[in-house]
Amino acid sequence: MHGSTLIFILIGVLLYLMMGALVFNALEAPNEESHHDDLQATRKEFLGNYTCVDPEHLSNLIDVVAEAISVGVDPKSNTTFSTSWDLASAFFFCGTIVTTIGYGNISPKTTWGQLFCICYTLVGIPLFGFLLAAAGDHLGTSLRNAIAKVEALLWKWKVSPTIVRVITAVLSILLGCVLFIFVPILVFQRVEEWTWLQSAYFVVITLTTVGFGDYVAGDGDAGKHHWYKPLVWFWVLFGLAYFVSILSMIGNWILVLTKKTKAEATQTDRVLEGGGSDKGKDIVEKEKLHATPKDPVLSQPLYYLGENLAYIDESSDALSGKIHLDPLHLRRDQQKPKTPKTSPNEPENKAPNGDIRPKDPPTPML
Amino acid sequence: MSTTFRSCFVPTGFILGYIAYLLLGALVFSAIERPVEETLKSDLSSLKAEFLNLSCVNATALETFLEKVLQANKYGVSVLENATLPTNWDLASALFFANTMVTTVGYGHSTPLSDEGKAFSIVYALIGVPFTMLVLTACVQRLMHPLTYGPISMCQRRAGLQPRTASVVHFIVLLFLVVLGFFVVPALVFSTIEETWSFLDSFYFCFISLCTIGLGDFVPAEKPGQRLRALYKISVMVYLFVGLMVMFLVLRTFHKLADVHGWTAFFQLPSYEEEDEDREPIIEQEPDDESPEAEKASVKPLDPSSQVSYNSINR
Repeated sequence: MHGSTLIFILIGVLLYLMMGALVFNALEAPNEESHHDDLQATRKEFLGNYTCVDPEHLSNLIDVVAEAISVGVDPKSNTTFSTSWDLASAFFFCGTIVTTIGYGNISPKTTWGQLFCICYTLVGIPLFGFLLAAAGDHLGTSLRNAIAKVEALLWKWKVSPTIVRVITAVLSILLGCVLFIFVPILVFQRVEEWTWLQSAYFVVITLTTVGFGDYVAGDGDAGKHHWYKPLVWFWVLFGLAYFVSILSMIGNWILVLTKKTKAEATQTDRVLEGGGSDKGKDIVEKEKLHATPKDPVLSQPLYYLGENLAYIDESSDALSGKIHLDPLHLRRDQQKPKTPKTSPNEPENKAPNGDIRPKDPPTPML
Repeated sequence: MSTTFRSCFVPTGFILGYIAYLLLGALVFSAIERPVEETLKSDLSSLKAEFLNLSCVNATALETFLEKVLQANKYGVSVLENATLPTNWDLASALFFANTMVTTVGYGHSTPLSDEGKAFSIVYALIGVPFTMLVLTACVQRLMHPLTYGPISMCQRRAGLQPRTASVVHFIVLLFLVVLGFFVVPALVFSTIEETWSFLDSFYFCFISLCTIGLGDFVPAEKPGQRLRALYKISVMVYLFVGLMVMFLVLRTFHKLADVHGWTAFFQLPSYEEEDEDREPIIEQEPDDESPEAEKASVKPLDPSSQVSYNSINR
């Protein structure tokens, strides 16, 4: 990738971060301030009501309590000790660190614990990477099998292949969404007694592996059932596999979009320059072959969308998170392209430096 | 026959091994951390009892007060008297927060409290995370050439080593340099700046952050009265971003190494692809560059040793 492209993308990311910072500042700072004032008022009231307590004593107590909280110890008055490092929770903790979610609601405090954590993670993360790749592949296969039945039905009705591809792609995304996002949101809402927004927030923050830890499934009453946390962990595994495939698909779209617009631009250039090489001519011929529209307005975008969405059918295996690129115009066959690696394109792409297709391509000069 | 056997055996083996690994971790963590936690808890209850004895406060009032304090503390609002901690959401801190979100580190030391903040975070993360991954991948692909392909081919030419040995040697050297430059040195810096962090704490912090786990038990620049807080936070941000890039680089080098040694083929994983086609720019138009690249690329599908995608093995 050229240096200038990289600089542009970097600037884009920096701008995105700045925008986020500004919005969070505007949304959160006033809220935080009101919490702070609230708290100070409570404290003053407490000290006023119980005048035998001196502020220093109170600060001392609060210090110890805060430290206990950061360790994960619950300072409420029930004296029977219930550790937060019981086997199920420790299992869940290990699960969250090797998936790199890392909630942080409990974390090792001892020196040996931290050392062990480092070594454990060094081995665990690659191990989980393999598991994710394997799980993602099987997930993709089963999703595809489920969709294949619908596809067979559509084939019987003689629907155009492009539309079939579009429908199956959308269906597979929807099915994954429902299974791994919407159903868990509802479940967490019921079980953890969170609002819908809090559940959705938890699901997204977990599946993108950000994992703030302000909401953790199983920290409340539901965590008392021993089967709950492992079940949550399995959801995390498959949800992650699904999310990784979606995220890499989005990334792929962006990259291929930029590549495609560039490819088209250079093709116009070549054609305008008088045919250029034979290869250029060939390519334009092929493009013309594919671009025989019945309805020039509608089928073009559908054609793009359908052809590129074929990627989803066959690439649900490509979950290593790497972006697979291919020289688009060179791997196509003569007829209907069956390229497993072309990626979806925005049909309404009106980028200034691309999409010269709707206008008549100038005939290649001989 | 052996392929199908392997394709069944390998994933199952992975899953079983993985569950066993998790159980092992659970046992060890439990054994190490539980006693310490017990001590802290008993300390706390005796302190509370002492407090209650000395004063006229009744237990329930104290409980209510403590609950409120703890709620606020969880979100980073402190109630201590001389805590003149500036807001968690000034521009530098908000930038830091946004950065930890899109790099998926997610410390959680400050989190959005308002409903709008949460809704915005959902959308922001869904777009920002792939965006960042894209940027990191792009950067790493560029860096691979001077940092990996170059040295390896140099090793092969100058020292006359086999590709396998050259890649191993290169990987070891790279690993050593990365650990030194991105773990040891920053750990030293952090342990100097943050007074309460030991060297191990800082090293642990660097490791947990660069793996994007981000537990949040240690977060830099959170001390009240920290000098040059904004500058400190921004430099930590830069460190995280560059460090992440370097980790990706190490991972890709390892993937290439595994490929060269045939491990990826054995485990039926996607093989490493040298994506030379990436060199094409999107803004400038250089038709001359196209033909040699295109020819190289058109040769690729015919190359039997490069497996194009995972499912091509089974077809």
